[in-house]
Amino acid sequence: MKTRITEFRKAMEMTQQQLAETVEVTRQTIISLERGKYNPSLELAHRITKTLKKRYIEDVFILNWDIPKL
Amino acid sequence: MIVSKKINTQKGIKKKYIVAISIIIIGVLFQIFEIGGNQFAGFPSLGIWIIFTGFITMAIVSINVLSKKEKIIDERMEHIGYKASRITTLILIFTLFATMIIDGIYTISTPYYLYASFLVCFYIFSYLIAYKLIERNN
Repeated sequence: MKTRITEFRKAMEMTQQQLAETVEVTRQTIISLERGKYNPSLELAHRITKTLKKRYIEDVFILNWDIPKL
Repeated sequence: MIVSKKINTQKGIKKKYIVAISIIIIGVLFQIFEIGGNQFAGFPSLGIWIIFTGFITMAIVSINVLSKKEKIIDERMEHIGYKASRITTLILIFTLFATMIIDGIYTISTPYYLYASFLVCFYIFSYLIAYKLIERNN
């Protein structure tokens, strides 16, 4: 899943470590999320969205999926 | 799914010490009631071996207490751990299957305790490798 964590984090002048400590995960998890290698749980996605002061999860996490045509 | 949990907390350390002390007590009881034969895994008796294991457990817990502060285990680590344990279990099943076939070709004369300890070491080693490999791709 693509994310805009890096963009919003840098705009807030926040380091990966600071973000990790705020949402209570390790820095490696933030790195994986920023690279789009790990899909977070709904709770972690909410925590990150709130920390980055965004209203919706969709603002931060971009889902590359379309509804299949039936 | 829990986002993260803390390990090496005071409560967790207490529990680990209780386990280590329990192992030592079991060893002492084995020694007092002379349960098990003489000479086990290079030790004079089974009881002494269990006491030794208890002390090793206690030493590992003490090293953890001295070297590390409270550590976080988050959902990604749990996810990797789950994947690693699945792979390790599969490897273990294949290893046991291979052992059965080898035993069919020629009888394995290794003592059971030695084989079991090899298997435990192999399981831990496989888990560590699997964890590191999955972590690299996640």
